[in-house]
Amino acid sequence: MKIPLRVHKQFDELMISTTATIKALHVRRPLPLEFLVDTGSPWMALAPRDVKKTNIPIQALKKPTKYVTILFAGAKFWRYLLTNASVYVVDELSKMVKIDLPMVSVLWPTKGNPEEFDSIPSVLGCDFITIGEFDLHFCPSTATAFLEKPEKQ
Amino acid sequence: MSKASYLTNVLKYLTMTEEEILLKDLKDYEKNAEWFNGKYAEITKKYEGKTVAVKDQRIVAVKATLDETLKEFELKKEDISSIYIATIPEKAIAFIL
Repeated sequence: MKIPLRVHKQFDELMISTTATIKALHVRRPLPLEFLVDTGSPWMALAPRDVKKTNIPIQALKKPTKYVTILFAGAKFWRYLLTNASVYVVDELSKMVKIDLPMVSVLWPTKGNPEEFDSIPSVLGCDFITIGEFDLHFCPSTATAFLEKPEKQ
Repeated sequence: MSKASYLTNVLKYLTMTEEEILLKDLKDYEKNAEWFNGKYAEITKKYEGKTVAVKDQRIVAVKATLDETLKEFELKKEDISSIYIATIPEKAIAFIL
């Protein structure tokens, strides 16, 4: 099974993104969001812009016991948790695929105006790839990328 | 929200299952994201520092901030599920995550 990823140019270089919908308690408006595929991130994380779009009440979320603050895009963020989240993506046959994650991180700036961070994307990190048992393929010369789940023998 | 758009939404929720709606929104959003990515250079040049909303592969709103954009759709009671909304960084600013 393959999940196609979007390869596009930003800041003069190629970047990989995908579309996913997250459903979990406290996600009041589950809707499709753009995620930058980022193997530099251990977790799937929602940036402030997508916290606003999905209408997540930050005050209702708990912080983790470990890694409460993180550095992201050069700024410091509180890390909150959406627990027992289901992530929906579309495969190459236009079928929906659901991956259940024990948690998705929700980022909110420790200081400053959240609007300053509205151009920063959410990220699809290593936990999604690991838990979903995907291989990540990226070929810059053909500008193609996809996640592939090898068939089990 | 236009009458046609309102009726489309009503029809969507009356005739489709939750899973079908989720899938349709994902696919429609993807088309809008692809359209935006294809025109990225042109759009970013024109709307630097602004928030742009794309629906049915065309720009339907340009606002100063994301908050203003979301507020406008909320006031119009517009379903934003398939709308691709992006805030364009200012020209001199790039981000490394």
